[in-house]
Amino acid sequence: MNGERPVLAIAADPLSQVIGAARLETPLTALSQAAALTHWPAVEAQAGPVTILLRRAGQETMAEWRDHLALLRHLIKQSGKSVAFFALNAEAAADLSAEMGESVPPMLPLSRAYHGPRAFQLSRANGPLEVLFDPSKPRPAQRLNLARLRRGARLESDGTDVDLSDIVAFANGTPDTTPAHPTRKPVIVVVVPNGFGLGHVTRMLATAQHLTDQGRARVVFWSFSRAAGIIARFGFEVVARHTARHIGADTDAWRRWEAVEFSALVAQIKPDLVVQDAAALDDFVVDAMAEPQAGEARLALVRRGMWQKHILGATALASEDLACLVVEPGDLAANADRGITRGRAEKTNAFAHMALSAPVTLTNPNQMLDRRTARKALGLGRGRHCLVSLGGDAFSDMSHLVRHLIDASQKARVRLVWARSPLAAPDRDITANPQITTRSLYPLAPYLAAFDGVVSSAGYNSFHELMQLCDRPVLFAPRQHGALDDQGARAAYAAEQGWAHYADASMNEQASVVGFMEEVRSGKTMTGRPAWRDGAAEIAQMLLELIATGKAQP
Amino acid sequence: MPTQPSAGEVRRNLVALCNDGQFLAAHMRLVDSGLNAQLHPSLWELVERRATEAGEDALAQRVRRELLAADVASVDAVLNQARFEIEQGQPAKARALIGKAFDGVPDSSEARVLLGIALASEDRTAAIELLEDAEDGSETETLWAVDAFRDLGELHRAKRLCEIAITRFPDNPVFFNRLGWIAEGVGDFETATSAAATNLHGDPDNKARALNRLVRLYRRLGDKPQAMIYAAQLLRMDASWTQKLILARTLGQSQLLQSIVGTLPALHAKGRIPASETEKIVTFLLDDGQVGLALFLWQEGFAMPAAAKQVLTRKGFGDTLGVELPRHIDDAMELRSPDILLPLYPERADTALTHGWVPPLRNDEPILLVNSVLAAGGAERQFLMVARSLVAAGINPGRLHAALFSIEHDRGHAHFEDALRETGIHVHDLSKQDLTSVVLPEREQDLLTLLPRRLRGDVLSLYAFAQRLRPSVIHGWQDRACVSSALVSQMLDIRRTVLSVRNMRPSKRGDETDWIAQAVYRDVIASPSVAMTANANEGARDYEDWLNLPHGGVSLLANAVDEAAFYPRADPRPAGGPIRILGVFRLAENKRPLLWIDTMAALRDQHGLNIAPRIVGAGPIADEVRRHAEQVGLHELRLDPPVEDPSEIYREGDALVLLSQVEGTPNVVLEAQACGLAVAACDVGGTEEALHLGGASGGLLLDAEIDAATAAEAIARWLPSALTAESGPRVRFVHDRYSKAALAGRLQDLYGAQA
Repeated sequence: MNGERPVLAIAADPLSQVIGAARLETPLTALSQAAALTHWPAVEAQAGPVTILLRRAGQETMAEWRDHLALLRHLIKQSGKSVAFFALNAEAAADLSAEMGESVPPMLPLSRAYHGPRAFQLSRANGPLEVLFDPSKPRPAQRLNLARLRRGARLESDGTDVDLSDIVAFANGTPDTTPAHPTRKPVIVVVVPNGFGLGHVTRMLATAQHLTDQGRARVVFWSFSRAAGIIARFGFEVVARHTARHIGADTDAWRRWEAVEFSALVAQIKPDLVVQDAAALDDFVVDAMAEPQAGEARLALVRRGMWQKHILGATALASEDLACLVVEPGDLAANADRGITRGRAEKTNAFAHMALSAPVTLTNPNQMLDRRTARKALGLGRGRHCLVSLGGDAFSDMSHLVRHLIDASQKARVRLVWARSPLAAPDRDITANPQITTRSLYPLAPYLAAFDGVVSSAGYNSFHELMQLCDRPVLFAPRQHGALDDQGARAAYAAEQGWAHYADASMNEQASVVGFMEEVRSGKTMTGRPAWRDGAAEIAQMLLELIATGKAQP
Repeated sequence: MPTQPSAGEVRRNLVALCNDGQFLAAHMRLVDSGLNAQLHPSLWELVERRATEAGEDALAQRVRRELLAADVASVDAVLNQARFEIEQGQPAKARALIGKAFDGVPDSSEARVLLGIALASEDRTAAIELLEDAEDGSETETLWAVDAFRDLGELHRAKRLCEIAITRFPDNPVFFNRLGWIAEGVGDFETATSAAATNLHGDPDNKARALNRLVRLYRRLGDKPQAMIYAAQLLRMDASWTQKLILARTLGQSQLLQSIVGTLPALHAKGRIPASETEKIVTFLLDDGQVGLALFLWQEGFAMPAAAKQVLTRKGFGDTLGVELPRHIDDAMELRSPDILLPLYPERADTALTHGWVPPLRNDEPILLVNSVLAAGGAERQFLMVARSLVAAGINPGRLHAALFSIEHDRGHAHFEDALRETGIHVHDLSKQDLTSVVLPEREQDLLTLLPRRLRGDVLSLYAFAQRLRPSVIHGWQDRACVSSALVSQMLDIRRTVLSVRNMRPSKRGDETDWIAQAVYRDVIASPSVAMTANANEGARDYEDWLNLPHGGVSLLANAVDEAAFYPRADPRPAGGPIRILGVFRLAENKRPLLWIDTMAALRDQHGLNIAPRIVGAGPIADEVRRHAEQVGLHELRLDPPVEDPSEIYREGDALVLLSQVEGTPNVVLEAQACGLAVAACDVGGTEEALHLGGASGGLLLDAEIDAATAAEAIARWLPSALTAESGPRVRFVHDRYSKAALAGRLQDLYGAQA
């Protein structure tokens, strides 16, 4: 590793992305003659010796290339600066020695990072570096970061550019040539966006717990969610951030700033993996991960399914060409998935490994409290209690349903316990209602045994907790919002399977609620719901395996 | 009723405000005081003078207007206003002001110089006479006069005045700077380099500029090693990034340019680029056609010039609903002007089929021929032949207009001017047009704003002229004129466009910005009203490859040799006398004059030939050629400058040897053969096509890459029989293929003229 030794590179030089894995001896290295020319005052000001990696001709003309070397000779002669030359390989060294009239040795090759059959071709035939997963659809390679690419495939050059061939050969490395990196526990950065609820955070907390338990990993959250406090309570390091909307910033400026800041974190903690739970990778993440300081860190995306049917999401799907791994947390209602990501987890992608896990819940069956303990912890008295968990704005968004619930519960002598999101401020309409008890707990699932029934929205986490960890009647009242998943489809599917009831404004909502409350009153127990599976552990395992792939062995 | 303040009180106020730099407040105080200019001119002059000194030109001008309206302006105020009017492109107003103030020709040298500048467009002779007085004037006046001479194209006078100024004001680097530019313009490279070298000892900014000039000069001189030494000196400096970008462009180093731009955002973020420089950098990139790089820096917080910002926003750049700004430098490099502006009129693509039929050219419709200059070159000679052959073919010369971007005599741009005028056609110097009143529609104005600078001036001047002339045919000659002609033709919807390009794509001639021509040609060539020609098949194929055109996409328009001037009439070689070997070429690196000298020396020394070598030509490495001839002992070499009538050259010759590294269709090869001379030439460009080969009288085609010994050996083997062979086949070869009549016929076909 070159540690903190600075390098001088020209913008968009792909070599700068892989050089981090090389052993650089001098305090300052210029990665090309062009970089040395551009930054010559810095080279000259460097107190000690400087290394200049001489490169064969790439996109420049031969005349340009010769002029670069001639200029470099003049600079060295005029300044008297002590400079050590290296080339990327033996063949390049021979060519450059001949051109420079002095010996230019090859530098030590990198250790091979990938040993499998997969190969990607790189090309600069159209200008910017492109990767030809599909030759008819070249993709910009800069954003993929060559250091990451080299761990996922053998790289090939299209042969039109000698310098690119040299870079590719260097990036591929040779077997067992460099000392192994010292082992350390995996370092993982988890990026969670600011979603509507706690879905992204919950899934990643569940996964992160397994990462620390199974993989002894250090997990750092980069959180835009107001749930930073919750994350910290779970014992994870968290960097709390603000979205452009929250601080009223221009989106482009915010993205650039965020990329700089994220890049700084990456440079500081040198993660083995960055994983984001989102519909798509954020641009700032991709931009920062293309920076040389991202090194060989892998990039993964956790993307739940059940997108609403009308959302095209073409841009979001482009993340599949940027992440090394795209995992879809399993959904019990997957058969009802009508969204654009349906079935993609089973498809093969040229770059990303696509995978599907079991459903993810933060709570596992062992963490469930018995009815007595749960009721005591919640301070609930005797009688029937029904949990209502509809999200922050339910009173205004679902006022009809709420009125029906209150009426029906009174009639059925069932007490409503309103679950307030830990992120939401207390709601006057609810706290002022003597018929309703409010509780704010996170996570709520361990306390489910305290209730005789549950009315809930059909978001990913609630749905899977209720269907796998609760044996009481459940009424799903799906929330329909453009930015949310297809809760209607999920709830309807559960109703079809006989797992739960489904209330919808388009149906006879009142009758559904009355029937449901009678069931709650009767103390009915449900059977036939799916057994719990540990999706979080599966995802954690996939992420740890991703980290291990292509990593130099001790 | 408020009392009027006293003049003394107001004066004190004004002085205080001016001392604080509050000129606007001072003016308001003066206006509010009620002390008008007529009764209190000294107060108004005070504000005018102080504002002028502080560079507050607009305010100063408002105050002057009051003084002038009251007819109480001092001489200084009048001259300031005259200068202002000249700067605003209103020389007539300046003349009127000076005329009124001085009642005729002024005595004051400053006024005489200003009047000279103001008279330049109207009375050149009087202007020159007045400007000559500047040699005794102040530093400022002298500089004005130097610039005025330069603008008049009187470069020799400008140079002389500069040299005088340097003896009078030796500490002012501006005169050295001007001298360098002017000397370069007249081909005096020694003075140009010496003037630039003097400024190497100035402040860092001046030093960086001087180094850039030296790099440019030595590259023009073909002395690349020396250019590299100066380039390295500049790279070592903590010079401004603008100067480093200029260096990258001068060296033709796109990668270095990209590399420099790529480092700028980080430096800017750290506050290490002065705010004033950010706009200069962006302006340089826009001038260079690198719109993507300019946009890239713009979004990183660099200042964008207001006019460009307006146009780019109109084009949707930076608008969240429009075109996304390039986020990566690789993407930015792909966005260049004029590519991003093309097609200029996408809506016309729908009517392409109806454009397929072009009405024939009527006998009264004007034809516009466009070339950059009339320098002493082969391409310019052929431009003249185009005019001559059209007139000889019976086209009314009144219909023919030749437009040149410059015919400045002192720059050597007027070599064929007299000959061209003798044909009777109209000859127009586009640089002499008054462009201040040109009105462009918004779309065309936007186009001009975003064009690379080198193209902007050409297109504007040609547009202004063609808009008045309304030609039915526009015929561009050589790439510079072809590119502008192609754009103007579209802007004015000219019916027929002929683009006569050169013999090899621009990049092969060292033009690193050949994307400009490539984008324009690719855009227009699909139109059936546009024809592209080259004067040799090899050149045509090269352009086709470059533009991805099918075979035949560029047609042949062969050169013409004037049979009346070039015919066998050589004075016979005296018996036993030396073989008279001619070399007719520009004394520039790509013509390989040093190889030519070495070959002659080898012919004499290795092969024992009795030769009389003679070179006719001029150029930047003339001194080096002379020195080299002395070094190798070729004392008998005759080195003559170009002559007015080139046919005279061949009268005293037996053979022509041309060893150029780069050639198009070499006129000298055609002309020498037309005059009956034996010709040996290197196989480059269209030489093979131009050379009569085979048989005893056939010429000698030498390898393109050849050394003197090999060339001499081949020539020595070939020459004796070539000299004794019949010259008739050579002469017929040229007359059959390269006649004026053939050229005229081909041109009329291209123009769509009725037979």
